[in-house]
Amino acid sequence: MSDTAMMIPELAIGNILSGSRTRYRLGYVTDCVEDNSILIASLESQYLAAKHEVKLYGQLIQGWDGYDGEAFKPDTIAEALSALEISYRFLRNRQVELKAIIPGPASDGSIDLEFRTDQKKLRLTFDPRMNHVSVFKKDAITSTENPVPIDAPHLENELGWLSS
Amino acid sequence: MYNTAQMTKDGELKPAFFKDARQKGLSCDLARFSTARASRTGRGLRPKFSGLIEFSADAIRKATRELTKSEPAHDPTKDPVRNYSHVNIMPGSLTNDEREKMVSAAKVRIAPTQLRLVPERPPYIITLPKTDLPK
Repeated sequence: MSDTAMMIPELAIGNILSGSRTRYRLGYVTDCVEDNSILIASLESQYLAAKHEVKLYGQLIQGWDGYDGEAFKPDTIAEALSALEISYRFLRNRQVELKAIIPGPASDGSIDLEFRTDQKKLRLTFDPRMNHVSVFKKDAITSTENPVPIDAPHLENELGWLSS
Repeated sequence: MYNTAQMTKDGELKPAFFKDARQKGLSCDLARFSTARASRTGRGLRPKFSGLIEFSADAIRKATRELTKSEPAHDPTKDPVRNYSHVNIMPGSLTNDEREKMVSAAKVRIAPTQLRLVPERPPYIITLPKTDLPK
């Protein structure tokens, strides 16, 4: 057995605390995370699930909600998918830890995309009758709602609030 | 509620559920004058796999009074089906804030039992026995 393998835990901890080069015993488990692979994989998983769901909205027919729910127009779905992709890339680059991405279909033919962190909610609403996206932001203290043009710079500007 | 797309995976309602495309208000039933089965299926007008959501009248008042100045109104109907327990809530459109309040106030008592996001084609309609209909 090598001397690394025989290193006692107290010595290893001492090395960590003193900042010296640490040699670990075989099988030594730490809480150190080398990269953000879990965060990115989680974000990717949420993005793909949301994308799949939004695509399915295209198959919902008139009356999908049991009442007079309108079918979703291809343009609205395309806008939502495009915004979802822009958001995913932006949030991945910023390494924002999201709790959930929640798409929401509405009976008036509009689509919500909600991004949740532990403390904040940001909801984008794509309405086929509007040429802008409605942005709703809510945290523990305040909430605001304002229209924003549908393009990458504006969307990224709004999404930046999640990581601020 | 009958589409699983209207709920999150955690079993919470999505705020978009409270958008009123018809601008006529949302319908619900007074529990005292109805049964779970009759309300779930809209007295035969809705699919049998529909879910059921519960609100207290007080929660609706708190969520909607500021903007719409409205009260939940007992509004018995005869057409298309006779429904003494029918209540109309929230005429007009709600803000995102108010929808958030409604989500907090809502309790999903029965989730839709058809778990497909895109349901199979009709016929969904079922016929209830007459004993379930209010006299």
